[in-house]
Amino acid sequence: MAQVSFHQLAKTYDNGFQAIHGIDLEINDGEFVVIVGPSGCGKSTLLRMVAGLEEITSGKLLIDETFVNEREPAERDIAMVFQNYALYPHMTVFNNMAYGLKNRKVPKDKIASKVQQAAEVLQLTHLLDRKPGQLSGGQRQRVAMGRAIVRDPKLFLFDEPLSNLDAKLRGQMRIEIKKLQRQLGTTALYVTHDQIEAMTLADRLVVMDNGHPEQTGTPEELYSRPATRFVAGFLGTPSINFLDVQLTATGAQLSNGEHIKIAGVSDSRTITLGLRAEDLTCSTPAQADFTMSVELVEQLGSELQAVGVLQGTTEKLIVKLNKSEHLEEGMTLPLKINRNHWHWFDADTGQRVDSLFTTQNAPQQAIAV
Amino acid sequence: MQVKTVINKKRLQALFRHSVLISGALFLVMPLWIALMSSTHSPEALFREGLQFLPGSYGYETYSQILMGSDLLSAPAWRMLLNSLILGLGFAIGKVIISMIAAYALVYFRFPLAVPLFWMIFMTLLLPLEVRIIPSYEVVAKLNLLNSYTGLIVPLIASATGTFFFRQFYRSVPAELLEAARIDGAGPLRFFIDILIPLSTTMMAAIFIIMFVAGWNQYLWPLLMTTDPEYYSIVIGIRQVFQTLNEGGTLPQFNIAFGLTVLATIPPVLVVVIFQKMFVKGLVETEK
Amino acid sequence: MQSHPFKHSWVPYIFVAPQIIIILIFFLWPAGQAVQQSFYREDAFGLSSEFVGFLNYAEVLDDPEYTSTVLFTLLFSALVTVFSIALSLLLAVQANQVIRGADTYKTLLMWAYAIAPPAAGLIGGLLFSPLVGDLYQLLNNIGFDFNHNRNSSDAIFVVVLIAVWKQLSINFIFFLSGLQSVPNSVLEAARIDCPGAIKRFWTITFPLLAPTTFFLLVINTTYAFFETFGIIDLTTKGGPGGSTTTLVYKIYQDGFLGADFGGSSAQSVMLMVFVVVLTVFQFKFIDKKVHY
Repeated sequence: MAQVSFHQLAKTYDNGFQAIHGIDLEINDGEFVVIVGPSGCGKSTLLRMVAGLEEITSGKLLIDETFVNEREPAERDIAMVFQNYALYPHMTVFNNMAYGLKNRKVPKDKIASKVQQAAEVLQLTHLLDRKPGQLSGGQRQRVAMGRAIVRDPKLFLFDEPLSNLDAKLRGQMRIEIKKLQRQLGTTALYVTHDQIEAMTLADRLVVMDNGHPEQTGTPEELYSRPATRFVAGFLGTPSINFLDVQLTATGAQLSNGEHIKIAGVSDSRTITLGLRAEDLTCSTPAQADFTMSVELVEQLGSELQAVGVLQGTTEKLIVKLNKSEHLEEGMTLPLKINRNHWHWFDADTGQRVDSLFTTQNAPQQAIAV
Repeated sequence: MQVKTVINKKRLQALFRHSVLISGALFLVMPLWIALMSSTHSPEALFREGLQFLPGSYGYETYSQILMGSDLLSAPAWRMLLNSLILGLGFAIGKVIISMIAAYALVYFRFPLAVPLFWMIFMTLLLPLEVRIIPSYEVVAKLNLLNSYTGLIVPLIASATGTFFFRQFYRSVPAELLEAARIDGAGPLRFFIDILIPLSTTMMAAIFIIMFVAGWNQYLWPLLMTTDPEYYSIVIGIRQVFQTLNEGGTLPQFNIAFGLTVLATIPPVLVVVIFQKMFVKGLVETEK
Repeated sequence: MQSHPFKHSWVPYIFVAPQIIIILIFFLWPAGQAVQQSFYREDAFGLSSEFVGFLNYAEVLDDPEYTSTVLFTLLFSALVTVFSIALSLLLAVQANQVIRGADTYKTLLMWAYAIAPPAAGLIGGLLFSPLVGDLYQLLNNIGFDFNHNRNSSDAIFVVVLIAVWKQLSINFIFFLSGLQSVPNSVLEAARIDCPGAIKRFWTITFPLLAPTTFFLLVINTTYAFFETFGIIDLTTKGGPGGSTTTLVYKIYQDGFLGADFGGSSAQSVMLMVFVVVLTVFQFKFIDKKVHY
């Protein structure tokens, strides 16, 4: 168990490519931090820098206030679970888990008891004599977990450990990983591109893009108050709807000419409005903020999802609606915005803008935890 | 009607396939079969009736002459078989060990001389021993290694084919395995011994087989290198018998020539046939 | 790409050392020796040698025998390569599609990989021998005036046939494995798109085999150049009249039997340069077109 601190951690490759642009982060003892971002955003590189598998170009990495930049991976007291598990194919499950302990000269009987213990936690006891080739994907995943936990490391590192599993197993393993981490109380750093995994696992979430941290916070904070257009677009299924609007004295003008009435607008620039699918509701033409042309209606069972465009334009819209609504493909649908949950972003910088309106219309300082 | 023509067409196709394959198999097998059968006939019979397709009754005489020694051979065949075995094994073992460790250094380390050394090794692939055969002979003569197993085997290892095979193989081992091992506290030697060698067993066996056959079948180099019959390999023995066939005077001992060739051929062929799967896998995967 | 994690260690030097030492002693030294000797000429007793510049090269190039050796080597490797590749492809395609007896066919077609070239040469030579050879009898009975000891084209026929015979197995192994690695889904898609089996083979399967074919082109050429020494030495000995002498055989004859070290070294050096150029050419111009 440990605290981990990043101080302006950065990585530049020999060819001049800057993969990580100076990241600051404090991970508290026992905390589960997830780094999420699209592929190529640098999240795996960052994790591997913590592991000691990639050199740190500049900045400081502290584990329990000890400077570890220069330490070999084996000397950092970390354990890592790899995307493809990286199990040693020629060793039994037992030896896979024991290998790290053997190299640390742990006495034999202690190794045996440690491995037994880990195997029990992970329900691997009956598989200890098998080789990785004889195991299913989920079992291999467990062995990889077992290899990590036998050593009681200060820090768990997870590099997309669930991405090779099918959807159902991924859901189960997600819960197991979280439970295990809670039970052991070990600090964990977890990298994924899957935002559902990120939201469900994380105590705190770091969204990364192009080697920059876009926003850090609890999943709720990031979902309900995304700091940038990128974060808003990255988190949430279906993706948030973005509409380009022109601010006027009486509100916001959409690209098809429709007008959203807002009092106290203090600006007159082009701006991006982000609206989540669940924050739009059916309305009457008179009360609607704008109209959607429905192209497709998807039955999700518990609810409906309407896919279409802002009427008269090609700007895409997706709306989640109560399943009792009667919808048909081709119809026009008047929609009203839930004004507690709208998100405004600068059209150029993508930064969140909260100061456009006088207070009574401003989006509520959402649900801060 | 329609169905029937389709079936006929399929039959015809199968017939064609099998006849092509049977012709091919006969083409490959017949010469060795004739050699084997002819070796069981007396030289007189061969001279009178030509080559033989069926077994004769002279086999014991032929092979006991070959194995125990005959005027035609400067060394008995058991001695030559032993030399071939030493050549094949020495070449295969030497090559596997030397190329495994060299490839390990090249793939898993970044060190200042890595690039020039790589090119030096690559160059040896382009130029087989045959091209520089005479100067190689002179070098070995200067080192006093003529008529020695060292002189026979070591220069053949200079061509770094095995190093390339292993290099290719190591590069196909997932990098994560190395990373996992590093996190588990394994240094360069530990990783090599605990992880890489056990993972390479199939590969080692395949290369071993390929190299054993190559070593056993060496011809030009042993031909120059060995003048002392003590060191003759069985392939060199074939040449010796061949020369006596062309000498005038006595009746050519065709049965001995065929018998010796059969003896030279059986061990490597058995190795390849018995370990067929492993050998094919190794051969095909390494050449990629 | 493999990462290079281990640095600043004595391990790589120790590990690479045996290979490098062997290369230095038994590769670079002789190669250097060849270059040096190619500029010198020894007297008849091998007691002294003098620097003669490019004289050895000039003499070799002026020698009509050398020219005919070059031409024969090129013809020989072209014939061997074309016939052994074509035949083995035919066999591999059939073997890939039969079900009954497939394993037996495979074994019968690949064992010859293990036969030594001199052994192949001896057996082949005796099959055509005027003394006992059945094929000699057969060819003369059906009206050919065949004798590979006297007639150049007969001799070429014999060495090409034996060389092809010996090389079929390895080509077969590679083609078969190439065919087996063509994805089934691609073949199934082709069956939907193209009804003719033969056209399907030439438009889909064969192009997918291009990397294998290219690779085999390289190793068959190398084989014909260097590894057929044993076949030639045990059949025609380069004759009659030098008509089946390959470049390597000539280096051996001139250098070892004729003790003309200067001339033989000059030939070695030219052959080395030729092989390097050929390899670079093959990789630069052909390799690019065949990889997917």
